[in-house]
Amino acid sequence: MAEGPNAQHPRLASIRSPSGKPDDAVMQWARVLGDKLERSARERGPEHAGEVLQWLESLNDVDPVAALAVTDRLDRLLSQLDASGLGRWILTGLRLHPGEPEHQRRYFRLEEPLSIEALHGEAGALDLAASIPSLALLLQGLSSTAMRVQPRHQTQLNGVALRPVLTPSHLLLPDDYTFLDGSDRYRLFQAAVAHAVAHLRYSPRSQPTTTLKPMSVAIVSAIEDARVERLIVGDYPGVRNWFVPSLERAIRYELSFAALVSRMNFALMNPVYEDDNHWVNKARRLFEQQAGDLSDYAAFRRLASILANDLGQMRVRFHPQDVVSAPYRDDNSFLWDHGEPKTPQPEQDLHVQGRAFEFQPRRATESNEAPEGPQPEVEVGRASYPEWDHRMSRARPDWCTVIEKLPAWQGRPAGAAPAPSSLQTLAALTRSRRLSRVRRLRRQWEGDDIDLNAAIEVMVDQRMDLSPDPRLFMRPGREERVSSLLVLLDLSESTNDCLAGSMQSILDIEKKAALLLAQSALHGQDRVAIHGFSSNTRAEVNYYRLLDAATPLDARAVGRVRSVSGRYSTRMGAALRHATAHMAHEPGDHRSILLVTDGAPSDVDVFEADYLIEDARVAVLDARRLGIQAYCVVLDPKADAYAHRIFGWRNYRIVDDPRLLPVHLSELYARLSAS
Amino acid sequence: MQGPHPLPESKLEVSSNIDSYRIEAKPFYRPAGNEITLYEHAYQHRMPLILKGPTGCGKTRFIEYMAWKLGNPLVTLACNEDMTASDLIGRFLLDAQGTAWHDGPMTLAVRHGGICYLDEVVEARQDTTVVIHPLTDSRRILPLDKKGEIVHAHPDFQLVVSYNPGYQSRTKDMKQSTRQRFAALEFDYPEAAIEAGIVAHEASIQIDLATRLVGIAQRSRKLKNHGLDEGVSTRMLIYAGVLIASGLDPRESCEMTMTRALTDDPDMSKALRGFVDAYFS
Repeated sequence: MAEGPNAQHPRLASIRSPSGKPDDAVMQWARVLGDKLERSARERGPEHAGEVLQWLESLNDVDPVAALAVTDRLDRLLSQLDASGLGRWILTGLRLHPGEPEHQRRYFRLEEPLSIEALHGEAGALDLAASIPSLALLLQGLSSTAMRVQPRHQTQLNGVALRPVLTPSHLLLPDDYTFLDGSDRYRLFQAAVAHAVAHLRYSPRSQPTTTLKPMSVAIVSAIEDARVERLIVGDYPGVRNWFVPSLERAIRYELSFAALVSRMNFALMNPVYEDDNHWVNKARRLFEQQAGDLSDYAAFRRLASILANDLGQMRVRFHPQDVVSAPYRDDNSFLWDHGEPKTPQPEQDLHVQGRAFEFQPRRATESNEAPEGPQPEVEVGRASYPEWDHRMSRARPDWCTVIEKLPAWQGRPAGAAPAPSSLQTLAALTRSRRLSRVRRLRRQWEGDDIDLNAAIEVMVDQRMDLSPDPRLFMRPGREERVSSLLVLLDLSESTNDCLAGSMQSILDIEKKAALLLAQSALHGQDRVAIHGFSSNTRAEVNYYRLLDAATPLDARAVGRVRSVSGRYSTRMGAALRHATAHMAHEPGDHRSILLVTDGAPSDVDVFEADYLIEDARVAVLDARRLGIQAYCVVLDPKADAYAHRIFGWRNYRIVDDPRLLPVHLSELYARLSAS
Repeated sequence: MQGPHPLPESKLEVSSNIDSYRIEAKPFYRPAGNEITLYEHAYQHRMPLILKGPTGCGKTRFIEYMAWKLGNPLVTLACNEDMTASDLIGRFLLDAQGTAWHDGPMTLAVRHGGICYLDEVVEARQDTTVVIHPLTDSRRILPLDKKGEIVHAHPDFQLVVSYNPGYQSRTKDMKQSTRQRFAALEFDYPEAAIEAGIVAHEASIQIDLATRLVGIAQRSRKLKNHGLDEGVSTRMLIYAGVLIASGLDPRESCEMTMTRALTDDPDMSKALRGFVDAYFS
């Protein structure tokens, strides 16, 4: 493979010294690095090596000497850290000695005790990505609202340390907390979540800042932080321990604005702390006087104005960039409306930074890159279905046209094949069984009826003074029951969105989960079909029979499932009716449709939000009347309201983390087919 | 020489049997609403009842309390999938003389008077529960077809069933023909203050501690449909309280009775642990 280091890492070739010209030292560095990265790629995969390279490149941009020092010690570092841990360790070094390259280099050469300590700290620290699922649940439980947790990715080595950002729908947590911010990383995340809950619950949102000076805004924010934290500690007494260590760590004993505020923050949370500064003590006194009525936002705002005024008279200088509060506290953008044009929606601005949980719209060019296969989609048949108009309370007859098609681009290689090993990670599908009236088990120890032949033998034995066989009962045997499941995939445009930090789209995961399910069901008698749909107005509801029940899951079928692409909208009702029509002919004791979707029904020719929801609800009820259960898996944390309306209150499941879809599907399958 | 289930069958023994189902001590029950009045009215007319609600919210305790209050024996049957009609009404067994009929627990209650309580009734198969139909309309009879006897229900007989609508598989539901014979009382976890009172009493702990435990439970109930089928129940809280009262650290106790008991999912466990941490410093 490699002629030189640059062969396997093309980016190495482009590395330049900060002056822009390739020089010998840099080339030397690139060669050494190439070897080590190759080893790392072999051990932990190319993605990992790529991330390591990214960090080293960034460090090289800041200080090539330091980058060389780190490269020399890379093996040792990587034996303890993963790539993101290495990144945090580098950040620690830069933040520990800002503007002092000599000290920084000592740190990177591991010649400083703190450097080793930071290394151990990062080695044991939890990665944000691994913590997000549990933090999302924590946030949801503590706040009782549907909120998303997403990472904020630090992109600059010398950038200001990131703070959490709270929006009405998201909490963004920085992935650059380091050893310096606290040894217990998860505790820090928890504190950030609790602080966000406090704001969500008690803070007024988007207050205008028109009349306030920046320093006043900072003080009002700090007092507001303290007020809502006091309130949340009243609700959840344990969270005080989440806050206190960080507040204590943030304290600085200077007379700068940031130092005074940090001391005030700690004084307001810790009653035993003593400070010698008059202003800090005044802040505490005023706050405690008002603490009897914590709900009076206006009073605290007045109090903050007094404190800000005092600072002004003390000639304390304020630089907006040096407001350093405890790292778990958010940037308070939640509290203020600066009267500027609206900041972009989180969905738009998050994807650049995020890694794990947000959906990143695929660029149009990218989806067009799919080679246009020679065959267009093949139409197989058409059917008309009514649609329910809830305003008229009646069905519009023959309103929607469902066009059954074979997907185009057959054989297009899309997505990774589900590895056989991943099958084993799925929960074994439980066989559903039922009692059979046809099979009678005779000569049982226990049972409903006496087995007459056995009973006669017992009586005979008794008369002959023999020991009778006590197995004289009869009971029904069991037989496996056959269930039919139709997995109906939402193939709308929105499913093309990628999970950030991965090349997989929601659709890829939907397909993978459906295929895994079909593969696991192959071993039993159950019949699993995979169909998909998308809609482009009522005149064109595309319906793809990707895999029919009882057909082999061969390469062609897999190819068909893989090749179908996401387009258009989600007209759920018509698709459900067509799926119901298919299922009506299926044998089996349990027939169910399992819809996998990423959002509420919608279509371009419908403008009323409730219309398609109501239509889908009626379609589900119609199916149920035919003995076909409809169940839904939604990849939308806020689906509670509409999923509940459409499918009924225990017939849906919300999957917050799309990557867990395969597991959820197999669980649901087991539950649906159980009797 | 006897059959495998040698049960004596004299009348005397059977009536003492039903007496063993009487509840001697007053069970602790704190009403969350007017369910006691509603029950008493239903009982006056011996109306069959469904008690529904999430697991561990006090359905069984309620029926025990009512049986004690009305002075009736309480015959409880935990239903399961393998249960057959014979398990309810009785069967023939062999003894030295030949076959002998043995009343099932439900027949016992029908014959001698008492409340027959079928716990988690939807776990039983639908064809099993059909045997209760003639008992639950104006006929109030139990035909024992194998024996050729029709048992007329004792005036004190009442049928009560319970189920948890939350977690059963979709297909486990009562037939309409069965469920329409019942009046229903719906239970839920009580309001925070009442629930704390119950936990404090049952586990003999301070009300402040009980309030915190209830807070944890309420947080966990918000995660329903997001990975949890059911949140922490009142019963779990009592377990947690009992362990704390016997000297265990609150967090360890919650870990043992709630987090580990409720879920195997590591992320969910972590979130639940977070709730516990949020209440116990």
